[in-house]
Amino acid sequence: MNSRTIEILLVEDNPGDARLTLEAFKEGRVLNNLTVMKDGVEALAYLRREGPYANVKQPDLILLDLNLPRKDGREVLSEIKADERLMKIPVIVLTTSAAEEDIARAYSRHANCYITKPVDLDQFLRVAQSIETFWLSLVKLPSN
Amino acid sequence: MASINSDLKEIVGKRWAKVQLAREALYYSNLNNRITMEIFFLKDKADIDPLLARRAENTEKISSLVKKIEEQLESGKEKELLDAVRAHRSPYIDSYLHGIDLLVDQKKYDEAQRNMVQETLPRLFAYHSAWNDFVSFQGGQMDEAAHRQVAEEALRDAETHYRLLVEQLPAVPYVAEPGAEGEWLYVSPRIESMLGFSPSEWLADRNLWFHQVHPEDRESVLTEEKASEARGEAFHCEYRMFARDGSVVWIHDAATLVPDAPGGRPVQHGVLFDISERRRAEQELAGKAEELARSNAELELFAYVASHDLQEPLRMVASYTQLLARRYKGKLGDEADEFIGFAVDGATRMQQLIQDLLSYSRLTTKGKALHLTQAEVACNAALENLHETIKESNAEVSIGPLPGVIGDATQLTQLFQNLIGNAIKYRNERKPEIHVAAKVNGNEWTFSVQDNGIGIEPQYSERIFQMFQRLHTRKEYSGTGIGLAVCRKIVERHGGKIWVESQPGQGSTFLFTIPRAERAEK
Repeated sequence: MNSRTIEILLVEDNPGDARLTLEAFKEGRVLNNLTVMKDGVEALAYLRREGPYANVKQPDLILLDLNLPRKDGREVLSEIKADERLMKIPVIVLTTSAAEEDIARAYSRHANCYITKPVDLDQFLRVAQSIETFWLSLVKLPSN
Repeated sequence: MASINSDLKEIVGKRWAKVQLAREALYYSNLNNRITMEIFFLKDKADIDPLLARRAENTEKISSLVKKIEEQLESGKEKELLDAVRAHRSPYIDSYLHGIDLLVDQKKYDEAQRNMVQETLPRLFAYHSAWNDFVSFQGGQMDEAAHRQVAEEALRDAETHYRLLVEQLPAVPYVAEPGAEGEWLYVSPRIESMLGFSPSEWLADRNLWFHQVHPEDRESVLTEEKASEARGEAFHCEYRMFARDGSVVWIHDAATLVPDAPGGRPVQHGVLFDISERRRAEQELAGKAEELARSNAELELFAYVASHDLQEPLRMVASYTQLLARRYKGKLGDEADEFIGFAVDGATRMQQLIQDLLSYSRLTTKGKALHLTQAEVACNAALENLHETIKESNAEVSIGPLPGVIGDATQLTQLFQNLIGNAIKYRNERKPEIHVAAKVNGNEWTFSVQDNGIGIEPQYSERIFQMFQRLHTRKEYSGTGIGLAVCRKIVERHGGKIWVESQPGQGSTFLFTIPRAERAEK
């Protein structure tokens, strides 16, 4: 069991969804610190510690929505996976889209997993729990 | 061109005049015979002179008649016949004058009588007979003309009928040499109402036809002409032509090549049909079908987009009401709990409706291509999906041999799953017994899913297949009422139809058809 606080970056433009994810992870057992970025440009600036984000901690896990303003999730994913400093961070695509082409494209851009947001709260909580169990407890991630 | 009728009139007129003259001559000849008889039986021969004078007069008349006839002779044959008349006349007259001489001499009465009987009468008969020959020749000529007229009239009648028939056809028969520059030998006057060019314009300009053919269609017309000639078959081609006013007329041209037509050159006997109306109707129909397909596609897209986009805000409503319930149930008072309960219930139901709508519209938007599918495999997959339900309800499901069909495996599985799921859901207190079977019915398979459940009132047998139509309250049986609408859409997509046979309390049999595919049954 990991004892340190896990850093999670959530890239999500919908505050309702962001809050819901926050709440879901709040109910989890793993101590985590969830930061929300509202668009792709902000998210990349955060990850690259640019401007106001010079001193932020590098996240252990990225939850990425696909439909984002300014720079959409697909581009963000490509840039993360092309950036040597960021490519090791697991990216979980968390989106409402169940479109096959979105799924295929996400994996071909090296997404670590793709999850369609369940419509039901209970299921959503279970998803958050599964993410926590799998990525934050079971999986050995590279240390920063 | 003079009409045949006036020809006959002329012929008859001329011949008749000669016949009349001949008859007149014969009349005077007969008068003279009677005068001769009178002379024969005269008591007093002193009275002979006026008779002889009358006789001489008649003879004179006959001579002038013959002269008149002579002036009107038309052919050698006629002259020959008139010469024969003359040739017989002289011996007759000689013999008769000799007889008169004998009579006048009283003592020679017997001799005169003998002369009359043995010489004059035979010569008279010969002479009259010559006249008869002449007259009957004229009659023969008239007959011939009349016969010809009858024959020609008959021919003309036939031609008239034929022409009327040809010209009243709602099409344009023609005779033309083959090829782009073939000469046009005949074209029905209807060409004018069809294309605005008169038949004479048409026949005068051998380039007119091809010139009026739509440039885009010219090559195919010539190709088809050559091909049909090579095949030795009739030429059939549909192409566009420009009428004189520039409007486009769709033509169906059907022609047969006649290699040895009169004149020794090959010609085409053909008919031009104006098929513009048909083409217009076809295009209209195609346009309507396209429009319908487009509006259906739009409707499906609308359903898809609407349900997809509705999902997003609804997920918020549902999630947060659920979160409210989760965090604050029992903390805000009974009323708050109740209100939250209604909100959660409503949101959940709406989510279900939207999801159903989405999956319904996906049946066509996301439907896979139809290919060989084993219905039995699809049905077993459905049972697999229903495993829990079957176990819980203690249902007994039997599956008869099911054929291979051309279908979408996923959708067929869903079809069986919905039907068997319904059969279990609408059970009564008895243990559910469900039987799935298929039998051949002409060109299609009729599948049946039979149960021993609650059954359906016959008046609802149509309504149950409509979207979101339910016969029971949600309390009695859950669901949005999409299941059978989905079934119907799947069956229709497979080219079949679905219906139910049922009596309340007697169980239901849902039947659907899928066209047979021989390929799939081998």
